[in-house]
Amino acid sequence: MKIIASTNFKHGRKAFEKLKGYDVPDAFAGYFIGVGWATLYNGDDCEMVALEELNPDAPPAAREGDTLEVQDAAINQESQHG
Amino acid sequence: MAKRSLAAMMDKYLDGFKTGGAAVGPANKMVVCSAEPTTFTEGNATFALADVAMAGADFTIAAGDGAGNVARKVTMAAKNAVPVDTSGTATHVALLDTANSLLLLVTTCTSQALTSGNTVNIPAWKLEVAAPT
Repeated sequence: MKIIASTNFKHGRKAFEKLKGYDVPDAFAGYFIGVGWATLYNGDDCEMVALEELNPDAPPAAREGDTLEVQDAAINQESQHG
Repeated sequence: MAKRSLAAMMDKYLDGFKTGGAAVGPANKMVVCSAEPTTFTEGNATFALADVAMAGADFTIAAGDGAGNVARKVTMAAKNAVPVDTSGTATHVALLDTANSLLLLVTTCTSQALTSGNTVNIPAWKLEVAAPT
């Protein structure tokens, strides 16, 4: 849902700037509008906000030596007779 | 069989928030943040919504609430009517050492919308060092 910020505000790791348009997930748009920080926006000039930016938790730190979980692959061969 | 840790040793760590040590601490600023800060800059500016100064008297070290031998805790004093500098959704509270530009401790809080110009009350909270198990 597109919104335009009525004031500067921060949510999660994202800082929203007053009078700038954003495209955010519907639940967040409803919350921002409900608390009076934004209004609905019909314009096209808006920044897409990724869900991860709205998550208040820090992303997991990169670690060395991580082991991937790799699934086996198989090619099924069919023999035909005749 | 029971395990035990010397309370005075555990208090050395907790006292770091209250009085500090060599180039670390004390905690002299408490900040309400919109996200989990992982650096001093994030805690002090990027995610900061409201902040208040802290002093040694704001930290009380005592026996912990947990079981075992011997839990210890430091309780951070409540701070009321802290001005909200930037509107946002509070999710974390951090303790900073601004003299050394260090992010000392981060905890979570209930998600709460804060509006610039209003004030926020930060209740007392604690950091507990559990007894060895």
